[in-house]
Amino acid sequence: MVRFKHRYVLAELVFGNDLLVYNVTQRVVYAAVRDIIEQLHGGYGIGLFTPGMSVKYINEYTRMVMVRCRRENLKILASAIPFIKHLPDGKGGQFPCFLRTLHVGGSIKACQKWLVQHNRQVLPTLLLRCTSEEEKSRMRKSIFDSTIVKEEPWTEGKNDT
Amino acid sequence: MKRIVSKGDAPYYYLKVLLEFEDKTMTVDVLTFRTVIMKAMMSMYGEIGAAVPIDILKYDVETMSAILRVAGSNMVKLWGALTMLSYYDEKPCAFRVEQVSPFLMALAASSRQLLLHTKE
Repeated sequence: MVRFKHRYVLAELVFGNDLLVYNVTQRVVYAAVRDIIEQLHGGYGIGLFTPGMSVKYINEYTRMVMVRCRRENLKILASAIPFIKHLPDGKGGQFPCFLRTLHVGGSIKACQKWLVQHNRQVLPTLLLRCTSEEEKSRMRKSIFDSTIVKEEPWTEGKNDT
Repeated sequence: MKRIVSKGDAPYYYLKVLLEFEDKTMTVDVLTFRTVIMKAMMSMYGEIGAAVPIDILKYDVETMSAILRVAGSNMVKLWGALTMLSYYDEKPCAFRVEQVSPFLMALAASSRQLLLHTKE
């Protein structure tokens, strides 16, 4: 049996302003990656990536995208992704944005595992960005909730809510 | 699926090419000739293909033929792009690749272009 092997590139969308959430869809990211490959590698690049490339996952809030490609073409994809400078905003305009590649995995599951780990590490940095005390306490609580494995019902948390 | 690309062991390849327009009266100068090659590479291999170093060692305006020098690893790309070219500036044209060799000396003579003196 022959199997088509894929690679999944997990990238972070970096906007000018971290706090803005743009309405980015899978289709928009797919078109942007495709366009940049056509610009850099021409019709040959499009031919390489039309079978196999797709955007498998996107999260607007954590600003993560996962792009799938054939394993043979990973190098081309990974070298083309940093050239993306803008994404269309759906209203005919563009907003500045680039993709920072964080991880390359061989399966969606491996990428998800890595992503969970990564999000845990990133949470404390969000705490530093809080401005008010209330935000801080809410952030501490959510970090606590996501990092501590609860073995028995946590009464204190229940009393709070 | 393993892709094997033979990069060849020659550092350079030399191609003797000939540009042919549908309009036979048309001629282009060496800079336009280089642009045609670059456009061909650009449309097929994008900006990265267009950045491949290609040298024109010799160009003859009359016949629009040239000797190109290209790195061995890019020879297939160049040859492919030249073959696929069909238009320049909305004028139908084609490249004829007459001779390809890793040695420039091999292009000095071609048995195909020999003029045999036959008795009339």
